Amino acid sequence: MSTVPVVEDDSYLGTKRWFKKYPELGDPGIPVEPFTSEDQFARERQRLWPRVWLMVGRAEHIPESGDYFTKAIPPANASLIVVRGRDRVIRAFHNVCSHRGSQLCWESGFRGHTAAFKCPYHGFTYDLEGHLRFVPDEANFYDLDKDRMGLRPVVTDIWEGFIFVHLSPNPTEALKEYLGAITEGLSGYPFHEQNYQYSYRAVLNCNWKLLISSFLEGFHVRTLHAAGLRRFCSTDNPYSHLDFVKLLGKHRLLSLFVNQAATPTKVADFAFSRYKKTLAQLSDSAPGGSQPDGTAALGRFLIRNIFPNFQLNLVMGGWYAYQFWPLTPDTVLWETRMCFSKPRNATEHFFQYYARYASRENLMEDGRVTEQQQLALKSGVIKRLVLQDEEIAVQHFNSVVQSYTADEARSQTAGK
Amino acid sequence: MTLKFSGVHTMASNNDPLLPTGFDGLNQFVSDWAIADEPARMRKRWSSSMDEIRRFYDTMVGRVEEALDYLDSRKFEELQPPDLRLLYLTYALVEVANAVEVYHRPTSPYALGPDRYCPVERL
Repeated sequence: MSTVPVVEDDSYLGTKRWFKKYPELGDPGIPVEPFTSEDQFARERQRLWPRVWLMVGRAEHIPESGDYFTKAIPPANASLIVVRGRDRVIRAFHNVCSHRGSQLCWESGFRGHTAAFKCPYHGFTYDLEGHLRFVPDEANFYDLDKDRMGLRPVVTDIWEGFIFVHLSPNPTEALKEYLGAITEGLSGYPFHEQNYQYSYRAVLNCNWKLLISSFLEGFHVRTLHAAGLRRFCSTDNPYSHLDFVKLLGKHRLLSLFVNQAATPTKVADFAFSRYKKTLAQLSDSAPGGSQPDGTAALGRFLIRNIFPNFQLNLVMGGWYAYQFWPLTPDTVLWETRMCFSKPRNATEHFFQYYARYASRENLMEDGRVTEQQQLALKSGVIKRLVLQDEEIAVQHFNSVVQSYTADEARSQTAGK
Repeated sequence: MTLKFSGVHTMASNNDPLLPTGFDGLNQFVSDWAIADEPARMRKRWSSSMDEIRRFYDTMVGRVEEALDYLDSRKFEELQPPDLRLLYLTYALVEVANAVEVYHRPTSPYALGPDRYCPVERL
C-alpha cells in the first residue's frame, strides 16, 4: 500500500489565507491578454513548449520489446513514436523519416507492435532503437552515411510509469528535478495496477490556460456544479474553501474540501455503499487484493497540477489524468484518462461507470463554461481577471507561464 | 475505433429471453435503455423527455440492488446476453440519475453536449 501525503490542515473556515502566505505573487488578478493573443501563443510555442517535460503515456501500455505508440504534440507541431527497444528501454523519436521527411506512422494515438519502422513513402527502414537499417536502391545515393541517418531522438524519462519527453536535446533540468515536490507521497503508488483505462477527448473553443484555470479552484463548484454541491460544500464551508493549497515551484497541489457528512443523492449513495461493501467482501476473500483508495483514506480530493499541461487526481479506487494541448490561441485538445483496477464483477463495473459519470457531469460543465468565458474575453471588454483568495492557484499557474514567455523573463530561471 | 463500444447486441433472438428470470418487469425498458456503449447511452439521455426518464428511473431504482446481486452471483466474463442487457439497464439508471435527482431536466443547462465530450477507445 502506498503512502499518501501528510498534510498540515489549514482550517477552511478562514478567509484571505493564501495571498498573505505567498506575497511574491503580488496582488490578486491577472491580465486577459495571454488568453486571447496570437503573440502570446507564438511566445509559448517558442519559449515554453520546448523547455518543459511533457507526459505522453504510460509504460505498461508498451510492456514488450517492439510495442509502441504514437503521440501528437500539437503546440510543437510534433509527432512522436514512443517504443520499447530490444533492450527493453523506452525511447521516443520524432515521427519523421530521415530521407524525405515523411511521417513513418500516420495515425496519431495508435498503439501497436512492430519489428521495425518502415517508411510508407520509399521504404527506408529503422530498427526499434532508431538506427537506419535498410535503404532501398542504396547504391544510387551519394555519400549516404547511414550511421548519421537514424530517427531523431527525443529526450525521455519515466516517473512512476508516466513517460515524459522533453523537446530540447539538452534539458536544463532532469525530470526528477523538474517535478520536485509535486511527487511527494506518490512514490510506489500503484498507478500501473489501476490500468483499466477509460478515455475521453474533447476539442474546446477556448485557450488552454483558461481551461486549466477552471480546475485550480473550488470557488465555482457551488454555482456551476449543482450535482457537486452536496459533496463539496457544507454549512460551515458554503463556498468550498480548499483544505489547503501548496504552490510547489512550477506545480501546485490542491486539496478540495469534501463534505463527509453530506447526504448523497439516492443513486450516488447506492453506488458508493454497494462498492464499499463489495470491496470489503472481495478483499476478505482475496488477501492483498484490496484497492488503494486515495480519497477515502484522506477524506480529501487531491488535485496535482503538473506544469505545464498535466493534471493528476487521486480518486476512489483509481486515478484520473487530464491533459491540455493547445491547437490555436482559442482551441484546445483536452484528453482525459480515468483509470481503475480491472473490475472483477458487475458491482465494480457499475461503480466505475458511476465514478466516471459523476466526473463527466462536472467536466462537461467546466468545458462549456470555459468556452463561454473565452467568447466573452475575446470581446476585449474586460482587460483583467479579478481573483479572490481561493483562486490563488489560478494566479500561480498563469504567472509560471509568464515566467517562461515574458520578454523580461527570458534570461531568468523560469518557474520560481 | 470503437472496440470497447461494440460487439454486444442488445436485441434478443427468438428463443433468447430479454432479461434473466425474475426481471420480466423490466422488459418494457430493454429496447430503449439497454444500451451497450457509453456514447449511445449519453445520446439517449440527451434526447429523452423527462416523462420517459422518470418512468424508467422510478422502476429501475427499485430493482438495481437485486439486479447487481444477481449479476454478481455470476462470473462477469460469462455473462450471457440477457444478463448484459440487465447490466446495461443499471448503467442507464446511473446515466439518468442526475436528471431526476439534481437537474429536474434531462441534462445540466450548463453542460457540453454528448457530441462535444466524447468517450474514445483509448488515448
